[in-house]
Amino acid sequence: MSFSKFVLLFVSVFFAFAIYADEASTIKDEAKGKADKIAEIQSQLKGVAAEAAAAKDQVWQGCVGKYLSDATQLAGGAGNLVAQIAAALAGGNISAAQKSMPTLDSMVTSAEKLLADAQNCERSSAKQQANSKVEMQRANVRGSVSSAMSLSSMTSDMPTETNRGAVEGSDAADAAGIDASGVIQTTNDGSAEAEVAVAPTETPEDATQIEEQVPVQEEQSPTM
Amino acid sequence: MITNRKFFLAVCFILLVMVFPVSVLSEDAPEKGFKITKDTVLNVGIAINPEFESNITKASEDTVTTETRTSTDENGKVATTTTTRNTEILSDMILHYSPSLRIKLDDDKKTIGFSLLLDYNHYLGIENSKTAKKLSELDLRSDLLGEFNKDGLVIFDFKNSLSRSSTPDGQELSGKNRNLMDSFALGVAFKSVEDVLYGKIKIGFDINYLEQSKDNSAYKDYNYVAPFLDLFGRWKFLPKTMAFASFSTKYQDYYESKLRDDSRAVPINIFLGVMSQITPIISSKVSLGYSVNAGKSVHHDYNANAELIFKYQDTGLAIGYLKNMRPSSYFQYNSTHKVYLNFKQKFAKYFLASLNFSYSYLMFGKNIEFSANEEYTQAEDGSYQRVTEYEDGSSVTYSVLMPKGKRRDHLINFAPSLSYAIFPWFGLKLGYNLEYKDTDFVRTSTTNYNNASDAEKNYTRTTSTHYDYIDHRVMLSIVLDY
Repeated sequence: MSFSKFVLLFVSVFFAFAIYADEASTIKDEAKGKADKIAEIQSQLKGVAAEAAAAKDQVWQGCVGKYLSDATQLAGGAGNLVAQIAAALAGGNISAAQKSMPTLDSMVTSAEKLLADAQNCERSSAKQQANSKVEMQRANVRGSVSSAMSLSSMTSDMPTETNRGAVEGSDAADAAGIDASGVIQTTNDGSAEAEVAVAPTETPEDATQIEEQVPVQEEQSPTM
Repeated sequence: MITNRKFFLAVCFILLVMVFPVSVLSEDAPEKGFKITKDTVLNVGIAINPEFESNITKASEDTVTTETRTSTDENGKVATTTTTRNTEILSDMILHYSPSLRIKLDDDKKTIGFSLLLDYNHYLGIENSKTAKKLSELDLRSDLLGEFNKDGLVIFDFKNSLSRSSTPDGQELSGKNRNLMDSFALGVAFKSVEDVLYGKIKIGFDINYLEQSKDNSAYKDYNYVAPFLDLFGRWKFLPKTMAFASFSTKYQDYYESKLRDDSRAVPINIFLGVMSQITPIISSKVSLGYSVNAGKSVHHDYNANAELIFKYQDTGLAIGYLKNMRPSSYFQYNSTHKVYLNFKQKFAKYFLASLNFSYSYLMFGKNIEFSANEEYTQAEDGSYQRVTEYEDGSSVTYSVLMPKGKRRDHLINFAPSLSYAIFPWFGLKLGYNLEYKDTDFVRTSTTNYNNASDAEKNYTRTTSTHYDYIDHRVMLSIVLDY
C-alpha cells in the first residue's frame, strides 16, 4: 500500500467516524431536550398543585393532583427512555435509538396536554360555596376591601342562611352593601323568611306605614 | 288519565335515574345543586317554618273605639248610651310552606340566572278562627338576571325582581294588603384594565301595586310607577382602600292617587365615601352625602353611613349608623337615623349563633293626606271634615284629626337566632324577633250619622288609632336546600 492510499483510507475513516459521532450526539441531545421539557412541565404542575394546596381548595387540588401524578409518570418514563437511547448509541445501534424518538415525541405531546387540562381545572372553594365560577369572579371583582366588609361569607355554608329567593350576579356596584339605588344597605341582613314578607325596596318601616295609613273602611261607611 | 299519570311518573323516574347519578355522584359534582351542564347549576329547596306571632296585626293596645247612641223611652226620656271597645291584640300560629328553585348558567363571559320562591302563609286561627281565612296567602319572590361580556372592560347587565307580599291591612282583622312589586333595571359598567377604576350607569323602573285597589279606591293612593337613574363609581387608590360615589334619583308617581300632584316625589340621594381594610380583621366604611326631595314642598337633608366590621376566624361583628331619606305617599318623605349591630359566631363546626339589633328614629314630612283633597274642608280644630248628604235628608259627617306637629317614630328590632347545619343542604334554625314601635302619631276619626226620619239610628263613632305596638315572633325553620 502506497503512502498516499494509506492517507486516503485514514481520512475516509476519520470522516466516517466524525459523521457517525455527530449523528449520535444530535440524537442524544435531542432526546435529552425532550426529557427536560417533560420535567419542566412536571415542575409547573407542582407549582399549580402548591397553589391549590395553599388555597385549601380540595376540588382544585384533587384535579391538579391527578394531572401531576400522570406527569410524574411521564417524566420518569422519559428519563428511562433517554437512558436507553444513550445506551443504544454507546453500543453503536443508531437505528434503535432513532426508533425510540417518536415515543419520546408523543410523551412530550401528552405532557403538554396534561398541563393545558390542569390549567382548566375547576376551582371550588368550600368557603365560598362556589357551585359555579361566579363566586370566584365576584371575589376577584369586588376586591379584598369589599369582601372584608361583608359578613355573608361566614354563613355561606349554612342552608338556613341561604337567600333562596334571590339569584346573585357578580356586579361590583353593590359590593359590600354599597347599593346604587340611593339607599346604602347595611350588613344588618334579615333571614330569607323575612325577605318574603317585605317587598324588596320597602323597609319594615315602610311596610308598617302602608298598613297604618290605609283607612279602615268601616270608618268611611256610615251604614255599618 | 291514569295512563297519563303513569307516563308522567315513568318520565320523572327515568330523568331521576339518569340525572341524579350524573349530577350527584360524578367527580366534578358541586357541593350543592344539580349540575345540568358544565356551567349550569340547579338548586331546589323546600322549607317548613312554624311561627308564633304575638301581635299579628301589629295593633296598639291603646287604640279605642267609642260609640254613642241616643234613644227615647216610652216616657219621652232621652237616654245616651256609650260603648267603648279596645282593639283586640291577636296572636296566632303560622305555618310557612316554602318551595324554591334557582338555576344559573355562569361562565367567564356571562351569567344568566333565575330564581323563584313561593311562601304560603297558613294562619291556623288559634285565637280567632277568622285569621285562617282572612290572612292565609301565597307570597312569592322571583329574580331574573343576566350579565354579559363579564371578562371585558364594558359589561352589560339586566335584572328583574318581582315579589308579592301580604300583610294584615289594619289593626282590626279586616283583611290583608296584597302588594305586587316589580323592579327592572338595565345597566352598563366600565372598568379599567387593572380594575382600579369602575363606573356604572343603571336605568330602570319600579312598579308598586296593591291588588285590592281595583275594588277599593282608598288603596289607589299607594300604587306608583317610579323610573330611576343610578350612577356609581369607585376608585381603588390603594390596595386595601377605595373611594366610592353614588348618585341616584327617581320620579315616583302615584298615578292613581287622588293626591297625585301632592304625593308625587323626586328624591335625589348622593353619597361620597371611603372603604378601607384597616387591619386583616378590622374594616370600615364611612360616607357622607346630600339628599333632597322635591314633592309638594322641597326638603333638603344630609345622608351619612359609618360601619365598622370585625372579622376573625369564626366571629363576625358589624356596628354601624345610617342616615337616609325615602319618599312616602302621605308624608312626602321619611328621614331615618338608624344604628345597628350584627353579630355572628360559628361554633362546634356546624352551629351559628346570630344577633341582629337595630334602632331607628323616623322623621316624617308634613302629612298631605287631606290637604289637596277637595272633598274635605279643614275645621277650626285642625281636623278635616267631609259631609255627605243623602236624598232622604240623612247626612254623615266624617272627620279626621291628626297631630299638628310632624310625626316621629322610634322602632326597635332585636333578633337572636341559632342555626344548625346538619348537612350542607339541610339545616334547622330557631329564631326570636322582637319589634317595638313608639310614636307620637295618633289618628282620631269620627263618624257622625244623622238619620232624617229615625233619630234612634243616629250615632257618633270615634276611633282613636294609636300606632305604637310590640310584637314577639318565634320561628323554627326546617330548610332543605340542595
